[in-house]
Amino acid sequence: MRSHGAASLAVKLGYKNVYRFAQGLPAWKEMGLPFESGQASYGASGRQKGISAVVGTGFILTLLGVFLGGIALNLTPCVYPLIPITASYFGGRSETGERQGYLLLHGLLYILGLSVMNSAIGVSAALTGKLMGSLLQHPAVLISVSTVLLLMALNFFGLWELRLPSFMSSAVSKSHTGYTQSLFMGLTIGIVAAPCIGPFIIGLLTLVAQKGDPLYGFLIFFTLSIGLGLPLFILSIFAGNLSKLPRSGEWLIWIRTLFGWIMLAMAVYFVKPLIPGHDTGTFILALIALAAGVHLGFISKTGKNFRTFIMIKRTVGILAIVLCLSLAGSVLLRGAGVSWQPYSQEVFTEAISAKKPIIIDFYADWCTPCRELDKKTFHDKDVVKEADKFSMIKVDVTKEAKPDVLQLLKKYDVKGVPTVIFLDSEGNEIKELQIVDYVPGKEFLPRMKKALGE
Amino acid sequence: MKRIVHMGFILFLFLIHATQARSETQNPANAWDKVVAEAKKGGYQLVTPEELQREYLKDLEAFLFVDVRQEWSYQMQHIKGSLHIGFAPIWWNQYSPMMRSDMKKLLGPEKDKKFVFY
Repeated sequence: MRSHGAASLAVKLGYKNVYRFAQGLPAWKEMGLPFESGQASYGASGRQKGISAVVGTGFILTLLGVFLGGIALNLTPCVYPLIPITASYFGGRSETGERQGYLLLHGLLYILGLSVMNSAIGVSAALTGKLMGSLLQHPAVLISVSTVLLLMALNFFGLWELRLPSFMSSAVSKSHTGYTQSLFMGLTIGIVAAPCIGPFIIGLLTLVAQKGDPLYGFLIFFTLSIGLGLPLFILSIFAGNLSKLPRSGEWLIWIRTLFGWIMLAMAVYFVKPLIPGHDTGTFILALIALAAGVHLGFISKTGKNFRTFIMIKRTVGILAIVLCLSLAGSVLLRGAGVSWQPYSQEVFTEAISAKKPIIIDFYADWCTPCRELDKKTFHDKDVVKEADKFSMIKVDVTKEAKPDVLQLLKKYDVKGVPTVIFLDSEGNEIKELQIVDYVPGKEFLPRMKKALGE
Repeated sequence: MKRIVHMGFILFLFLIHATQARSETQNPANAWDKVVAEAKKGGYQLVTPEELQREYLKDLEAFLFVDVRQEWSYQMQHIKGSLHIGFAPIWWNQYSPMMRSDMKKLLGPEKDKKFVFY
C-alpha cells in the first residue's frame, strides 16, 4: 500500500506523530466529513525543474544501487543466455589474431552501444514524463520491434547473414565493420533484454519520469547500462585472453538455433496484444515452444558425437515441451476470457453509435481486486458468453490519466479502481449497477441481464 | 553439465512466471491483520475514521492530511485541505534521496506535528 510506504518513510525521517488512515477517503466521506476536488496544490507530485536532484551523497548511493541492480539483471533469463553468445563473439575476435587493445575497444564499444540505447530511453522518458510502457503499447512500435526480432530469428536460423547495408559498409572502412558490429550488438541487447528486465526498467522509468530531469534520467540509465554490460565485458576480455570458453563449433550452430526460437517467441510476445482473439497469442507461443522442443531436442543433428551435448539437447527439448504444456494448460484450465477494447475516444464514440449496451472497466495493474476481476469474473463462462451482447471497454489508469480519460472519470464519478460501470444502449449510465470492488461471476451476471433489460 | 543447470534454471524461471499468475490469492479476513502488522513494522500509528472525526470536529487543524494516491485520484476528490505527494508503491521509494527530500519539504521542519497519510 502506498500510505504504508509513505508513513514509514515519514517515521524514518524523524516525524514523531505519524498516522496512517488505512480506510481512506471512502470512510472519511461516510463519516460526513468535508472533501474537495481540484489540482494538486503542492509541486512534489508534478515535475521538478533544475538539476538539484543529481547532487549529494544520497544520489551517489542511488546510482550505486542502480549499478548493482544492473549487474544482477545479468541473471535474468533474457540476458543470461546471451552471455555465451557475446562472449564467444569476442572470443572469436581474439582467435582471428586481433590484439588485446583492439579487443578492449570492442568491449568498450559494446558497452557504449548498450549505454547509448538505454540512456536514450531514460532521457526520453524524463523529457516526456511518460513511461516506456505506453510507448511500447503503440501498435506501430510493437510491429517494428517484432519485425526486428523476427529478422534476428531468421538470422539465427541461418537464412541470412547479418551484414551491414552496402552504403554503410562502404562508408566505414573494412577494418571498422567489426567495431560497428560490436556497437550494434550493444545497441540491440537493450531491446532484446527488455521483456525480462522490464519491471525493473519500468520502475526506474517511473522514478525518472517523476523527476522530469533529463540529466537525472541519463545518469540513472547510463549507470544501469554499465552495470548490465560490465560482467559480459570482463568475461569477454578474459575469454578472449584465456580461450577458456568453449571454441566455436557445431554446438554454436545449435545455440544459434536455440536463440532463433527464443527470438521468434519474443517477436510473437510483442505483437500478442494485437493478435485478435483473447488467447490466440498464448497458443501460438505454446506451438512455438513445442516446435522448438522437438527441433532442438530431437531433430537437430548437430554434435552427434558428444554424449553430453546430446543429453543437453534432449533436456532442453523436453523442458521446451513442458513449457508448451504449461502455457497451453494455463489457458485451457482457465478457459476463454472476455475480449476487451482498450479505451480511446474513437472506440467510445463507436460503441455509443453501435446502440449496444456498454460495460466500462476501470483498472490498474497494481490493484489486486482488478486482477481478481479479470482472472475470475471476466473468465466466467456465462459472463464471457453474455459479454458478446455488450461493447466491452477497458480503461487503464495505471499511469497518469490523460485529459480525455480524466474527463471520463469525472463524468461517471469514478473514484478508484476497480470500477465497472454499465451504460444502456442509449449511452446513459445505469447508476445502481455500478461495481467498485471484486464481485464473482454469479453476482456480475444478473447486472449484465439487468443492463440488457432482461 | 554446467550448461544443463543453467538452461534448466532459465526454463524454471519461465515456468514460475507462467504459474505465478494463478497462485495469487487473497484472504480479506486477514487484510486488517496485515495492516496492523505493517504499522508495527513501519513504526507509525493507525487511526480509525471515528477517531479522526472526533479530533477533526474538535480542531480542524489537528492533523495535516497527506494524500499519497495517484494524482488523478487526488484531482477527483480528496480530504478537504489535504496535500498531495506522488508516492508510487515501489520499495526503493523508501530509500530514494529524492523522495526523502520531497517528503521533508512537504511535511516541513516541525517534527511533532500530526500527519495522517491516506
